[in-house]
Amino acid sequence: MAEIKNYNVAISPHKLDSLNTRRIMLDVIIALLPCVIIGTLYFGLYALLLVVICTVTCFVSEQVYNLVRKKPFTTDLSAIVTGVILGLNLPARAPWYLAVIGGVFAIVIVKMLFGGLGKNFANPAATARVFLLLAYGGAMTRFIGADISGNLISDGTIAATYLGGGSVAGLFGKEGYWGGVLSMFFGYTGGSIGETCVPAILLGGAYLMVRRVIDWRIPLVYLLTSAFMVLVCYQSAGEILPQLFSGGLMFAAFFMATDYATSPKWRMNRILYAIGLGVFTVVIRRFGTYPEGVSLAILFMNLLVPAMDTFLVPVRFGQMTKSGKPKPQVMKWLMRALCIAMAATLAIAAPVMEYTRLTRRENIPVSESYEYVRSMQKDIRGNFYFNVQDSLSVPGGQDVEYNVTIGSIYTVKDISPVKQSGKYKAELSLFEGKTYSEIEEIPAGDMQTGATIVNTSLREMLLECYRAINDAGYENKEYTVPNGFSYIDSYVKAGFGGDDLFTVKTELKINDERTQPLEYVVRLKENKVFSVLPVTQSGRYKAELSFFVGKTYEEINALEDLTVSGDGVVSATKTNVALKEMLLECFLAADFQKNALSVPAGFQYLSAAADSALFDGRAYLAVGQAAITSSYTQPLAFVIVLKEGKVSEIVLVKQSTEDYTAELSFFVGKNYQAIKELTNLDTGDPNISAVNITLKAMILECFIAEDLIAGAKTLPAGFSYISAAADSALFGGSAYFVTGSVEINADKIQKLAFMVMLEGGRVSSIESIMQSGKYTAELSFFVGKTYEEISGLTDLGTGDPNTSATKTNTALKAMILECFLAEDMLSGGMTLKEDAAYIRAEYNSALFGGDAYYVTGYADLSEYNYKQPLSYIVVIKDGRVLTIEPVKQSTMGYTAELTFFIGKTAEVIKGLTNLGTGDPQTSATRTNTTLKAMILECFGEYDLAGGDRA
Amino acid sequence: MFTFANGVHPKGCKYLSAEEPIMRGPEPKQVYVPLSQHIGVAAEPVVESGAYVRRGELIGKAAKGLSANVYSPVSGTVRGVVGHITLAGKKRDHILIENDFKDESVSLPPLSEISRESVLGRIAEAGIVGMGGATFPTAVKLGVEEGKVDTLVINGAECEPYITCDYRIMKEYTHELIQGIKFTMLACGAKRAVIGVEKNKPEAITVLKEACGGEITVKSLKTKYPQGAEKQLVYCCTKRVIPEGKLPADAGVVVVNIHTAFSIYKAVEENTPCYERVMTVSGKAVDKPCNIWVKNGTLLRDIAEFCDGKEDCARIVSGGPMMGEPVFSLKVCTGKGMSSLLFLDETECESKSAEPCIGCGKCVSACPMGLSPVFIERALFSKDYKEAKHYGAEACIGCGCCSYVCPAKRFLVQSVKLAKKKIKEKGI
Repeated sequence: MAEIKNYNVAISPHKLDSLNTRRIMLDVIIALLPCVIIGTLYFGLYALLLVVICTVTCFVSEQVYNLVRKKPFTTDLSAIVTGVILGLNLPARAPWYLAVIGGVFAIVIVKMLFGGLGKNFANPAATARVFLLLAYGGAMTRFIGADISGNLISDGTIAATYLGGGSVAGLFGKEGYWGGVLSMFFGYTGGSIGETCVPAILLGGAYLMVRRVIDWRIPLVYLLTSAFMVLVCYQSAGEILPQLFSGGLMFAAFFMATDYATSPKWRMNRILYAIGLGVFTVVIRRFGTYPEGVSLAILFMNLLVPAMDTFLVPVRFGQMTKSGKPKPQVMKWLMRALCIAMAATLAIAAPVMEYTRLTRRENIPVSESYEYVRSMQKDIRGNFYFNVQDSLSVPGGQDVEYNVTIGSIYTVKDISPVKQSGKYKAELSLFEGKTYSEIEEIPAGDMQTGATIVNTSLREMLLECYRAINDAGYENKEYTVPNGFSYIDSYVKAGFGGDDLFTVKTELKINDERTQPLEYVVRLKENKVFSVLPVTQSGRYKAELSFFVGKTYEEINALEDLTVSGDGVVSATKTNVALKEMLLECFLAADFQKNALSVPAGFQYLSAAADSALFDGRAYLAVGQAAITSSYTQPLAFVIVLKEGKVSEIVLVKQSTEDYTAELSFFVGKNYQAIKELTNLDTGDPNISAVNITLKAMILECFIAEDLIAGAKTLPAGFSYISAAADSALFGGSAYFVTGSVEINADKIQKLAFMVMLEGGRVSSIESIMQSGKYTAELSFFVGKTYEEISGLTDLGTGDPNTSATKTNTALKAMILECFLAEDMLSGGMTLKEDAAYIRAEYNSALFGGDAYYVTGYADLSEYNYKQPLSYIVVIKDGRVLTIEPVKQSTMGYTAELTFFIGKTAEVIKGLTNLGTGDPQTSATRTNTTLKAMILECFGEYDLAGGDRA
Repeated sequence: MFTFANGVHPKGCKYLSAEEPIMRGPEPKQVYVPLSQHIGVAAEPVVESGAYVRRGELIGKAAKGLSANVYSPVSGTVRGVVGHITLAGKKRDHILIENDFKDESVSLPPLSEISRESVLGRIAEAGIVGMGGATFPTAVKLGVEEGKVDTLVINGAECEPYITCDYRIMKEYTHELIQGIKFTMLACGAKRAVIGVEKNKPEAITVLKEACGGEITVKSLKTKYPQGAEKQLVYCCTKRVIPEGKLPADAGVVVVNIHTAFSIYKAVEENTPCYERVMTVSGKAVDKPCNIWVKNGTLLRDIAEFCDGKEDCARIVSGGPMMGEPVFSLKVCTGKGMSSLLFLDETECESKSAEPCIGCGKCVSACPMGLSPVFIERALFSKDYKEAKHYGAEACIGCGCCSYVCPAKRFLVQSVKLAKKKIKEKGI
């Protein structure tokens, strides 16, 4: 027999189950692979990089810790598992250092410092996620969504998650409730890397359950309880599936809640734990401020687990109570009862309840007149949801459709493309997170990305959405703050009482090295400061709010002594001074908003006007710059109050902090003439003079505006140059405010603005408001002349080698002619017409002799996505077209062929069919066609007015 | 299928020896018959050095208290009472008999009447102890007060892997077994008997079902370890729960192993005392796995030779792989309770080193008694025995399920046993 001697001695059991720790961890990693792969597919390689960074960080920090503590290296894969799970929890475009910091936190602080594997007090990945959420809230909530135009690879557009208020578009064109749910199921929505695609999670979870790595009780009961709680808290069955599929709940249910060390060891306790998780998750989501409650719920329940382990010991086999009876298995039956009750409730309630839309929203009827907005809804939280559609004129035509969410704080929260071109996609980042004023400021041409037309259309659509909100009468209105206010960041009319809510910001210079950013939210109510809420200010040098709260504008303006007693350093005083300035600005802005007067367009400095409640008289906000030195221009803003033709008050809004202040005494109390005549604005300081000069120009503009407002006359729309018309008190006669521009050269377009005064059929005077310093108009050509004389002017050159002054003159000539036409209209017994297709006004023309009609319309050039506005004066005498004066028509040369019409009768014109001019473009023909229709309408009137009419 | 909670499913590996009919084992040159083959006080020798004994002759008398008789398995000369190494590693008294290979035998006097008292007396006289491995003197177990026990449960579960001796007995000595069961019923006063057999022995179940009848029924049980543990077996066969800390008799049940019942038959009907037993020799490190009659006191080396043990034997185990004791020397000899000898090669056994507990709770899911080995171990390490008791250390049956499943390969069953011992010591 063989010598049996090589046997070893060991204690029983002699053969163990094949499962070991490393195998378990490997199984978890394998189960996570589908999520990693899908996450990379949806979000790009950067997402994979994040996961890798996180994993490596976790592994390395664990080994470094072991090295420092002189412990053996751990070769179980638990750090890898933590790393992958945490990586999959990050938003797909999180900065790389988030992965590193989270990894170190999870491993070193949550796990290693408490004793390593099996001794962590809470799930490391969940705790690290909570930590990152608190420390880097912004980066952690900026999610991107998978691209839904059919490509799986995300294009990185920011999308709010479902819980963050984002809307979910239907998948594969399937609209409505189930379309949205299907989208969320497959992950076509915003979220962190691993948590969006439910099938991947289920696959991994199934693998783990088959391999007996996780207890099926935890995920199942967690989901069951969550569904039940959603039913209870939101009273909506339709909310269940979306809530389950979003916020990482599925992922956490299978991978994070099932962490061994931090979940109960007994099956019944696991059910209780899962129930607790479900309850907390939904309660935090419903009633708390964080949109997703999963990580917090896990953290909280983890902390409860040791207590459960101590107090809820399960009944042993054969265990007896003290009186000798078998100990009842309370927990077992209680847990079973709870689960069955929840399941039964769901089974009964869910099919019966109406599947409302994804969150309860009320429909707001929108009028048909909106160009883009098709539907509008509002939810309980005050978010607005729009469906906007447009047809773009790109080659081949493109219908676009978006679901837009505008949040209750009045920024664009989310734009979900429903339909857009695969190739020309809107650059959503231009608009998301922006307010109305920011979107309005985006110049229409400044939208690169190769989808300019799409972007332009989207911009229009968004602006219309805001208008829809305003029109619907919702009190939360944001107002654009006029240019010139330096502190005000945003202005919202809040609540239903009409309070004015301002956010004001500034950088306060404490000393040469330090600036302190300040930010406050100011609420004005009934013309008093109702409250000031500090958002950012120095911890040490705080503003003394009691100085300001409850005071009116005058009281705050009068505050002189803003020092804080006991404040050795002056910084708090500086803060108070800054706050005083900011509050005064708020009052002014509110005043300008409430009592606003419309300022004619074209002024250089005037930004806003108001029938002021704060000041006696009319207030004008003038904004401009003074060129102090060749390199430095000082921004200036003043509120100029005019009363009874004089400057009654000038309020500083913005001027130099370095003593280049305007010498107000030069101006206060003077009238237009006096100020106009001021030549010596010198105070001895060359720098200050520049400011005075600018201020003088501003004040003059205010007087002009005042004149126009005071004596305003209504002119129909459609004039090219005339911006406002008035009976001038300043100059006597009729004043016309004309604006235009002249192209000096390829790079420079010079804006022009003049006040043209007509009296007795002649130009009595011309005030230049805005023109080039160099190429000024030669006013002598025009003053004192009649319409005919000015019409007849041909040589407008000034002998100037540059023809620029000539260009200015030419423009001015056209402007003045228009003024004559307007004057003719106004003095000819003008009656405005409301309901005609083209005729805006009719009058008796003194200039031409006959019945004159002012007509406006469009030439429809839709293939160029362009409607050419047209305005003409048609004079009819003795049944024939006497003359046609163009007021506005194409600048590109598609001018109407007037000879077709002049001198003809109505019948002849009616019979005109060939309106082509031989012009290869068809645009002139369109113009002619429109003009023909316009003229016929005039005749129609004429026929009714004269002839045999019984 | 109705079964007890938890438990594990180790690989059965019974195919190695299940089809080997019972045959005669080795005829050893010398036997070292242990005086203590049972729980309780060792028997006192009644022969001296140089005496001639025959097979079936009393050589050790039951001592006062809990004890059992010891009989000579061979005929030959007593060489003396020697100290010999036991499986536990201690030197204990053994009676060394040199076999003269003449096989002269004596039997016990036939019983005049079959009654409870006489059967009980015969059982005691024959030195029958629990042959499933517990070796508790059967007469004491069966000798409960009148009317206390109404059901006899026969343990045919044989839940440990490799072991097939009970299975072969069920198949080959079916009628003897049934008769033995009847005697046992008489002895304990039970009105009915249930033979619990695991489902992995279908042929045995069939044969038994045919043979039994009336008050004796066969219950087929789910194949799960530790189905053969007393409390679990009783629960599955009779749906009765034995309260913690109590005996089966308190639930009106008595549990007896198949081989024990067979030995009772042999003692009562064939007047043969207990001096040999059927053992399974199995494992991949023997050429000839078999079920053999082994005389008490046979050196393990003789068995190894008999079955052609191989050189690549990595471990020798007495009993099953779950609860069996490791054999450290082939000089150890068999006894009434050694049901099997396993020669395991590398693939069939493993050495382990404990890793940190990951808190998976698999031990809790595996424990058939509903204990929490994870917490008991933690309490033990922090020397908090009260807490260990709180988590149920006292109720441990030592089945080893917890150690079996632990992914971190921790020594859980040993920790719980230690905690149990400490609790008893400290009187908590």
